[in-house]
Amino acid sequence: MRDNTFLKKIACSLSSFILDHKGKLTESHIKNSDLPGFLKKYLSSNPDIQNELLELVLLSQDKPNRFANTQLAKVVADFLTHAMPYLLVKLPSNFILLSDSDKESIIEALDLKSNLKSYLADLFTHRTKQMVLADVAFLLKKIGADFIQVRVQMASEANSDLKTEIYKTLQKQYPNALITFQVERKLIGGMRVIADGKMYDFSWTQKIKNLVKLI
Amino acid sequence: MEGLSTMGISPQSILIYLAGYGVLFVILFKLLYKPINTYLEKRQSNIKLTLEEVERIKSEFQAKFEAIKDEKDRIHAELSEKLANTETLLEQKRLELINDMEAKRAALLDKTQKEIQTQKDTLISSVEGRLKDVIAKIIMEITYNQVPQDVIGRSVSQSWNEYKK
Repeated sequence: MRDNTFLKKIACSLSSFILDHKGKLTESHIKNSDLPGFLKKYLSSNPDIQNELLELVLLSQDKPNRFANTQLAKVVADFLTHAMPYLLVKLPSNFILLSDSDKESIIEALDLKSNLKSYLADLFTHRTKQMVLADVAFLLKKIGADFIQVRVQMASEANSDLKTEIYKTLQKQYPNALITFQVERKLIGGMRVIADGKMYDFSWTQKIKNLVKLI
Repeated sequence: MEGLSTMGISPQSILIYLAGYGVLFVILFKLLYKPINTYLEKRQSNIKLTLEEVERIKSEFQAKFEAIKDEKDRIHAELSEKLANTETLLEQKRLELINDMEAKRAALLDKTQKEIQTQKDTLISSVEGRLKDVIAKIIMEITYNQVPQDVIGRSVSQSWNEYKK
């Protein structure tokens, strides 16, 4: 994903969709399309996206562009900072080690419906979470998005519900954050949140250190 | 008279003797007394002049002696004063030097004490830090891999609750 595949994929999806309907986009066309939800929502309110699409194509080809100034860039950045990490939260930490059939069933459970499904499935199957998140950060920088990195380190893998709760709470707290989860055995117990240059440490390691300081 | 006659001395003889002595006196007076007297007077005058010269020399010497003595006293007094001043200055300098040395010694001692204290504090702090690290490592070593997974799992949600607060 360190290449422009994701951007090209979106550009292709949008251009195919526009060409299929010869530029005449109606609400029903958009609703019934296989475009990802964030693009559907954006097209509903901004059907005339030719210029933005052109800028996106230029960006995907690493040519001079003004895509960062477009509304579409914000929508893409929003997808990358919110939807992508959220999908990753749903995956178990040992996902990369699972068998192909297990991976497939887990990805099916994500209920991906858009034309990005095969791309995302391929991405999640062949790359680790950390790699995917690093790629997302790379893309966000590329499209000029303003974001901060929030890292949640846990002593052991938390269940999906807790991770979702953590994710949603932190997302409210840091709206433009790229939230990542990491299992860090050295914490022994508990968790810590590293956000915007600050560390909120509730790990056992820190608690032991605090107790030792009192000696 | 008769008695003198008895002894063979006549008045004429006496007179002759007297006259003879008188002539002798006159001759002696004229020939001996005057030159001797003149000589004695000259001698006296010379002695007097000599004595006066001696007296004058003595006075001059006394005056010079007095002057030299005064000069000596003045120089002595001056030297004494200078010596006294030098001694005072020397004493003052000595005291200043002692005070300066004392101040420097005190400052050096103070600095050394502070340095020792700093070193001591650093050493104590370092030892304490190391000790705490060792204790922490021991505790972590004991707890690491010894705590059941479900406890660790619960600790994550507990920590999350702490974060939310």
